[in-house]
Amino acid sequence: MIQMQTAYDVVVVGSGGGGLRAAISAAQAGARTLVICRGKANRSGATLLAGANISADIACDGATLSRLGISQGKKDDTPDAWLEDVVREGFYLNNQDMVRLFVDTAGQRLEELIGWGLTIRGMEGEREVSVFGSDILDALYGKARELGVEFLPDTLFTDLLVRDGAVCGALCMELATGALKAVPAGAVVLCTGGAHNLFSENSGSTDLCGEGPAAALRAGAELIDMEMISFCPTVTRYPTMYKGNILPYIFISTGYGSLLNKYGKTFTHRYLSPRVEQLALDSEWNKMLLSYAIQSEILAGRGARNGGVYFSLPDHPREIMDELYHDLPPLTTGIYADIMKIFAAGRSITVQPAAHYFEGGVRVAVDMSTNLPGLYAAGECTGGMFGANRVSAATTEMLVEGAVAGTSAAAYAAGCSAPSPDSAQLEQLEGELLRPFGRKGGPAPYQLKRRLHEITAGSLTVVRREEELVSALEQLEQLERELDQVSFTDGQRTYNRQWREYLELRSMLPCARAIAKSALLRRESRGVHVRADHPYTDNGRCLSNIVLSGQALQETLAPAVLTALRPEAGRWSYTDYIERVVETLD
Amino acid sequence: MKEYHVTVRRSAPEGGEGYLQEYTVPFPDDEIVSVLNVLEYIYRELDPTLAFFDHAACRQAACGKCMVKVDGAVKLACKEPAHETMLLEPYSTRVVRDLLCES
Repeated sequence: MIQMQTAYDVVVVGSGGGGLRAAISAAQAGARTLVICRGKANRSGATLLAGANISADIACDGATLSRLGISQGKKDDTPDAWLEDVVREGFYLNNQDMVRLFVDTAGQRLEELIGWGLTIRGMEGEREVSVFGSDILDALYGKARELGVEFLPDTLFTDLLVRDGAVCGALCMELATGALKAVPAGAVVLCTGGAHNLFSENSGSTDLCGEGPAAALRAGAELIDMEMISFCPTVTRYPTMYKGNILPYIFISTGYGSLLNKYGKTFTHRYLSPRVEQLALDSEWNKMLLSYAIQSEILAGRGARNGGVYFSLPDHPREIMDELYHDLPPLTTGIYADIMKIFAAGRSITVQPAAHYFEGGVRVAVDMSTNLPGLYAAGECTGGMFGANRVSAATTEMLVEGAVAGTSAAAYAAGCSAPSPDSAQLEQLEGELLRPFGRKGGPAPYQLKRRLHEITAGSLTVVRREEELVSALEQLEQLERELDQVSFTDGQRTYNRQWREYLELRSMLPCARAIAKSALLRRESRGVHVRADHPYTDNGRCLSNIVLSGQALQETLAPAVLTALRPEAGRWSYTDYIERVVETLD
Repeated sequence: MKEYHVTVRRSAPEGGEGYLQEYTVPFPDDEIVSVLNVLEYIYRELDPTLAFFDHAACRQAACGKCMVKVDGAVKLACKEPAHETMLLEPYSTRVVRDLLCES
């Protein structure tokens, strides 16, 4: 039985910063708004872990920061200068109309957020304001509640409801009871964040499984730039207790510690020219460049016993540790104090590149609409803003896009007749979602998840190759067929983890297949997408976005939206081109 | 290898007192593991029916949602190092299933 819920004008899927910001706009426009939250409204999603609550940032142009009295460091900054940087950092694959929106409205988004109670904790860079992820969520959540936004917490979104070619609601499952609930809606805004859990090594929370892009694809919307995934280079892999923690990355970014291979030697110089290596250690570009260097060292067989490379933080002379604690006061408390004990015991942390940010996702226009009427999307689950490499802040992206998506969705919903989900679709979905309960002898969901993780670790991480991608696609298709055969040991519907993992795989497998297919189609190396068999950036031949649609992932090449800036035509070796791009940055 | 001896207070599907179930979980000697790591191992390798908070877990002591009673004291499962012998119980009386409580 699917329980039919009250109808809403706008349903937002996801309660991270993008979802909350979209809900605020929708409610301000007069829409009756519901947020479906995977966990607790203001304590789940990717925003919570932004910067590990040590160093999250919101980006904003220097002129606005000066006007707000936050920083005078770049007071002659202009939106145009910032746009140029974001587009160059994205290797010209960005939708420049979206970047225009980003640079033009970031200041308004930051200013209103301060008005809603956000605490500013200092500056991180010339355009980066230091904040805590949890503070962003608290400010947005407070405002959303004040506006009467309603919340459905601890509920897993599964599908979009579609009638006559338009979205008319969302289907979800309440985790505590196992009840399936259909929520009719005039418009739906997807804000599901990244698909981190496709990878065993990731820096996200357990709720990021790509539900938005997968449901959008099933319903008839398009995905774009799926091959583009930023890896955080030095995420904890071992010891297991701190797996996924990005503290070693914060150390490296601040300048502390060093990376060693299994022989105790530094190695980044093997893969990066002196100029680029300097950049890798001193700038936000370190994510892309160090991930490339570390993955290359692992592939060369010089990685650590437990899989990554060693992050070493020498504890002498003692003055250096004093400097460290002075620069990063949070190290004295909580989980960070526990991690510091590892170094104090003379040990290191094994680190490796981990899935960190997904540049690709649901294809949206500048008003955050998709090609499917009634469907909108915002934040990390969309593609297009950052092209082939995100250097500027994802927090700003979610605020900028969320604000527009909520307004657009509310305007669309105001012109809709009462939404009425299609009973045939509901019946078909109910059968599919509950199918494993009626089966025996099939694979357990976790077995499939483990195999998915082997495929993504082997073929979809930092350095990619044609034959591996072809094989990955075949294996992923096979896994999708096996998903139909899954059965459960656990027959209860109450908080059944096997069922949840089955539903997650229903999202993760199509997302992984879309990533593999896009990565195969991009026969060059650009930004965060590195092809060992095509180690050059080719502006002559490859300056298009890869768009996928339908269950079969039908591909279209869409010429990049170059309304403001054009790159120089030509073809360069991957690292030479990075050097070229960097030299032109503001 | 080092063995962790874990006793979990589980709920009965029909309600009532519930029961205790024991598991033995191995990890390499030089590992550092949390209570959550031990629970994950049980789910993956020993018993997929054991319920504990994990559907929107940060695993970094930031969300504060994975609370569980470890040898009588309420802890975050992700932040508390596993004890070699430990009793795990729901942290409140409002049990949804096994170690998961209403939030």
